[in-house]
Amino acid sequence: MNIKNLLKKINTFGIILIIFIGLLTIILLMPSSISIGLISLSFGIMAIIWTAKAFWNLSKGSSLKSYAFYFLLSLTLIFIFSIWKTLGDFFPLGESFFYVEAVCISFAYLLFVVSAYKLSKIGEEFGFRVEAKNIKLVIKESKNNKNNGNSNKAKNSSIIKIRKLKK
Amino acid sequence: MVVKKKGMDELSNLQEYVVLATVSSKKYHETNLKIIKYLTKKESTPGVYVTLNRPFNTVKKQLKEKGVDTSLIIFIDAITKVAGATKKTKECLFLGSPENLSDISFSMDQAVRSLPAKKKFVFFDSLSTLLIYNKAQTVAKFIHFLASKMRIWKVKGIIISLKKDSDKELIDELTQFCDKVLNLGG
Repeated sequence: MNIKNLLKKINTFGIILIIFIGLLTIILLMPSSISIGLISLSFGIMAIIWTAKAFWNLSKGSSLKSYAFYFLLSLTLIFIFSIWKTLGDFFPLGESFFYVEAVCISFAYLLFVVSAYKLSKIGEEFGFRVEAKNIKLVIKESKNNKNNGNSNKAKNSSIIKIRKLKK
Repeated sequence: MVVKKKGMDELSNLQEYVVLATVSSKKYHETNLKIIKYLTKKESTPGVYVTLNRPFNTVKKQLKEKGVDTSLIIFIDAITKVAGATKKTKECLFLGSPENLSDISFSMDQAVRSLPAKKKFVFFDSLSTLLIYNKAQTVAKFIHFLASKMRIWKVKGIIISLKKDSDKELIDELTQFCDKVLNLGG
């Protein structure tokens, strides 16, 4: 193993260790509801960054980009919902603030339905199960035909041999 | 015979390969048809035909005229304009635009992986058309990606390109990603 790979491994291990220590500190120092909120937020940020990266890299007008867009929107709404909830733990907000949470989570679910529909369309359009099944049948048929042809040839040659022997 | 027999015979010895085939514009269609005929008829290999050059209906008609069994082929057409982003029929997947490289690569991946055979081919028609719709650097990146995918898929991969002076630089650059550059006629 060369030094570069070793350094890379140490680096990855270091990052994981730092994340672990960070999470442990949050859990130990904060009340449980706040620590859960902060941990959820950090996961949310990660999910949003990855989805946004995918969105920017995909080609304009592609089905995958469209799916990534709706998924990104749903994630953002869930993230806003989590921020609101965590803020509520820090500073107790009035009852009217509950509606912001409700609106965020409802729209997030609505957008999840849209992205799920997009995903089902991608499955329909880019799935080749039927075509593969047909090709399998064609290959099977051609193999059978070949085998039949070979057995017929074998039959014919044996008939010829028998006739020669009879002569 | 337009397809240089020696070149194709060399390939018939290989189980899997990535080949960049350059063809002159005069013999372009004829050569394409002969390669597909060679793969489907002589080797009975199922495969994926990606067309960015001519619409699926034209390709299918010409292949049938040449006696090619099109039922062994999954067609992906990125040139025929369709309402909406993509359209799927029983015989072909229409992607609507050759600029949409994400959908092209995703559909190719799905199509190749669905093929129920050990031996399979991917025919990409063509690099020259891809260059009309995309920047040279993007095309180079895409072909590099495609060549590495073809190795993962373990297919007989053929990327067709017109023999043009303007594309010479790019073809030279792409040579390093492919196993062979075949000069098929012209």
